[in-house]
Amino acid sequence: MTLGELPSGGIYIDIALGLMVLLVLFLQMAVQQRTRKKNTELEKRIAAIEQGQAEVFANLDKKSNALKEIVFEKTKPMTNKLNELSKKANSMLERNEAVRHELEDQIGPLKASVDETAAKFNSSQDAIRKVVQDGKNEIERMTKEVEGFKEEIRKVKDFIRDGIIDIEL
Amino acid sequence: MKESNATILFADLMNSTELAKNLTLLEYDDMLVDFQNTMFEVVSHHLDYFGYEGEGVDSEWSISGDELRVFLYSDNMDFDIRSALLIATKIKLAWLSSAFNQRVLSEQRLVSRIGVGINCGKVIKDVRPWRVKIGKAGQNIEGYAINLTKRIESASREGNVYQIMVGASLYKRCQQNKRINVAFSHPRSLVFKGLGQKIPVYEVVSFVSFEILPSMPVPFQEGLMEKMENTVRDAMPEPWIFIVLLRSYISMLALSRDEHADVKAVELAQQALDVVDYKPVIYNMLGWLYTNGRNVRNLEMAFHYLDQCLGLEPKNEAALLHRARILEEMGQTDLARHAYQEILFQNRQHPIARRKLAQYQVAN
Repeated sequence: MTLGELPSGGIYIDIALGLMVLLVLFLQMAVQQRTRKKNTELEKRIAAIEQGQAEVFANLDKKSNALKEIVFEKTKPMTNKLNELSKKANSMLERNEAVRHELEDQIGPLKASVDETAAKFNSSQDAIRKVVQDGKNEIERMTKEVEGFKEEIRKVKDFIRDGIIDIEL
Repeated sequence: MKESNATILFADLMNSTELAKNLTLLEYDDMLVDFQNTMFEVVSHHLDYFGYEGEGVDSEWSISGDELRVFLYSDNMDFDIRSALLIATKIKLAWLSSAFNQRVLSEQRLVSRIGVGINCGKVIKDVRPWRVKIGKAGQNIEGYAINLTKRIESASREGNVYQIMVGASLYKRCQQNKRINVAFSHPRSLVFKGLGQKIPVYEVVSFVSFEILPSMPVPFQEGLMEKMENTVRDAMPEPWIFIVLLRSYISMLALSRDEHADVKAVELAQQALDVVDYKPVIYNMLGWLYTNGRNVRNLEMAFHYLDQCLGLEPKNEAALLHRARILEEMGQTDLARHAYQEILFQNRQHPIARRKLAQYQVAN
């Protein structure tokens, strides 16, 4: 056998590599198939979810509309009443304002007179207070004077008493 | 030139020459400063307190070295005499409580004393031309009474009670005036240099006045009682301090300032009987204390002491009056009436005895 006829290590490697490539291709095909299958299932689920969601939205819309109707029905009469009340309040305020103006016109001179009287009263009250205070001060002064006098009398009495004892010892 | 009846007081430090010899110049000067300050405070306060105008109007006074001179001529001689006696007692009391003497006392040495001479007599007040020339137009006071007072003051060293000596004119005036409770020793006839004849001199042996302490300058009043109390505890207390202190206790009791003063007063009076030669005043004080002291009230004891007083001085009006009152309080009406009659026998004008006897007559 010649050297060329001798089996070399390269052929085996090629074969092994070829087998490995084939194996990888099979594996890839299997994975692709499984993935495709999974994708199909996912698409189905998504479609089911989307359908459910659409149903939920539809229900929500329906309920929301129903609620709006209920709220509207309940609040409408109140709004009317509130509007009426507001109108009444405004008219009352207007009337009051008119009355206030009228009253102010009427009591203007009277108020001035009352203010004048109050001022006079305050001033006479101050005068009375001053007189009372003066009287109080005068009484206090007199009380002090009387107390001083009393003390003087006591001293004089003590002086006389002690002086008499001097003579009687 | 004006002639006046004046009461003249001279006072000076006893044994000052001896002190000047024993003390250093600085110590002697310190003592003189203390003495002069004390005299100034007491006399100026006294004259102001008793309403003297001073400045030659009704009084004048001066201090020179260790001597004090006071002239009083307020036209009321009895008032001036009482004032002079008060000044004399107060300066002695103030000097006793002075810083100098308190230091001496703390060292248990003999305190420095003041001798006093008081006399009454005519003096002439005049502004001398030479005074006008030097711009000091103060008046001079001259007269025999002044010379005599100086001699009387010099005799105070021979005294042994108050060491306040008085002349015959003041003595006679006090005998006539019963409103001043003052007692004198028997007269001592002394011959003074330059006077050429024997002059009677009397020592004050008792002067009872409630005004001594209240009329002291306020700074001197503080702690004065305690100082006197300390002094009488001393080994050789001066007799006059007992009388001043006892009188102060009696004032405290009479004016309800210390209701326990009677106990202290009785103890002090018992002690005084051993020290004071002139005992009637102490017996009378004991009589008063046993009658009026709430804690020691014992009319029998009071009666006993008043009897003791009358044993020494049968005409002592104060003792006779107290005894009559005690008998009245004991319900011994007849004896009380008899006691009041006895007072009238001594003094027909005695107002209390006359009133009481009139009441007895109405009751009968």
